[in-house]
Amino acid sequence: MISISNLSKHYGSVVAVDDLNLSIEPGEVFGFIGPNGAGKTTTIRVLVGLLKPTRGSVHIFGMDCWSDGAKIRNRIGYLPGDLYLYQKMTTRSLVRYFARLRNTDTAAETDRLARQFDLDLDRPIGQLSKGNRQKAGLIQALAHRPDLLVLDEPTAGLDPLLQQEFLELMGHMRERGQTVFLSSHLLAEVERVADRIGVINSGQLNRIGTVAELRAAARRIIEIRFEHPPAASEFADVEGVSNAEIHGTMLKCIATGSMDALMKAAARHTVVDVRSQEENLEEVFLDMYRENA
Amino acid sequence: MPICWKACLEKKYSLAGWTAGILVYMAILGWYYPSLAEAGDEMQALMDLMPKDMWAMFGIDEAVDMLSPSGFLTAEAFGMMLPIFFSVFAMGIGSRAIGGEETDGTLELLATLPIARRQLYFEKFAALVILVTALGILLWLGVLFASARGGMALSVGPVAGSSVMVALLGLFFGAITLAAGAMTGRRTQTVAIGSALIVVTFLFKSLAAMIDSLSALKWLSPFYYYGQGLSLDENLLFVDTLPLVGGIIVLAIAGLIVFERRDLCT
Repeated sequence: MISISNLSKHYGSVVAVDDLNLSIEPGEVFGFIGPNGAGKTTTIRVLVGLLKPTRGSVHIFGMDCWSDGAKIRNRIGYLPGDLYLYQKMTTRSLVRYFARLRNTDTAAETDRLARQFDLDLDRPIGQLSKGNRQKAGLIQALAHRPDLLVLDEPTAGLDPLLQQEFLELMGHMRERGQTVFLSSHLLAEVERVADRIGVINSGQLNRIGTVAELRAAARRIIEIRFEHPPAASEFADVEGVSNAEIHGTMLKCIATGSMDALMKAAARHTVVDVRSQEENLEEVFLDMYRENA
Repeated sequence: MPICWKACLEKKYSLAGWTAGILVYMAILGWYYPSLAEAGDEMQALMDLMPKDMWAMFGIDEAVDMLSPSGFLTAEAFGMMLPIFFSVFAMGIGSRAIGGEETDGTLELLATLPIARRQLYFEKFAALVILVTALGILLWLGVLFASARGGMALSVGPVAGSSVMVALLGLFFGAITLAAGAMTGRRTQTVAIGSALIVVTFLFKSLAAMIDSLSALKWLSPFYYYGQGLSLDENLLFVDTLPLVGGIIVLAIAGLIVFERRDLCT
């Protein structure tokens, strides 16, 4: 569906995207995660034909994004991160205008989406709240039932209830076999709907995998209470263990991967209690960002 | 042509305002001309005292017969006022077309619809041509109304030709701002460029008429080519439209070439 090969995009001496390789299969919901300024929006703007790659190529539906952009965009729905709509138009007239340019009729789907999002289609967009403008943007992206939906920070400005509705909508799209490229700096919203997640930072793809794979890389904070205090040095060189500290009779450390070596080391003493707290994915990604920075 | 149609509709109030202004101006001239004509020889003697350079400053190459209908309208309207009206009107449309949409952020969605950039550009350009042509037609009707009101008895053909020339001059400056907006994506800068070019090229033409050593500057001024085809007494010759038409085409192509190749919404 999407094939990105050695994509680089430079703005003068600034490297926004650096040698990015990525492949997304049909029907996949792909989460594209990274901090602000990581290169997410630049990558997306190359996908939708606004920017020309400095190096490399991007193919969607087997066609080149730059030279065959118009054909590709007929099957894409796009919601920009910075959404600016014609203020004097209503959502209905905006979607009708875009439908004429797409040479299609989206009236029925527009009405259905408006009911789902509870949006008044006949109010001028300039009079809508930020959340409702975002809904209008989502409706124009979805109304022609695209094969590929490209969403840049789609839940920005939506209240938690609408964020929930939106995430459910992503689930429906996946069931219908539509492909979604979803960018966000918030992992929590992406991990609930994405099949795979790619992490971009400073223009480079740091990591890519399923949510489960990325979770496996997560670290755990381990607390072991002993009957008698052990020496911290006993745990300093244990495989997969770091930051070992003794507080009274308690060992606090961070464990990554297999727990076998740590458990065997602890078993040399009388263990009273063991607590394990899994680091959440948000912290995993924050660590990645920090490492890269 | 949905983009063209939308661009035209967006400017309907602007077109109505400019039309009203021009018609009122023409009505005033039609009302004023008979009293001027009655003044007869005294007025002409006063006009004859005015140096040639003074006429040049008002965009007129030679002293005109203010008592004749064509001389009166050339001095009062076609020499400077109407070219400025049309240029400002067209520049507003041209700067809004692409540079304005990119500045406002609305181009991001428009340019990601399944249309080629070439189509987007041509539809915007077509809207500019349609709107300026519409104002030109309304000007033509307004001048004929003033002619009838003031008993000037101007012929339909030459008035149409002069209206074509002023519309072409407006289109030239509209094409500059549209092309500059397509090249840069910035509205404010394109308006500044267009406004500066109006002033500078008008001065080129005036200075060329006043100072012999600067006469070559006239070739750089669209106002010179406009003046070459302007006549309320004789029909417009096709050849006189070619410099401005050629300039408009060159500007349109230059803007398109850059627009098709550059990054948008950076």
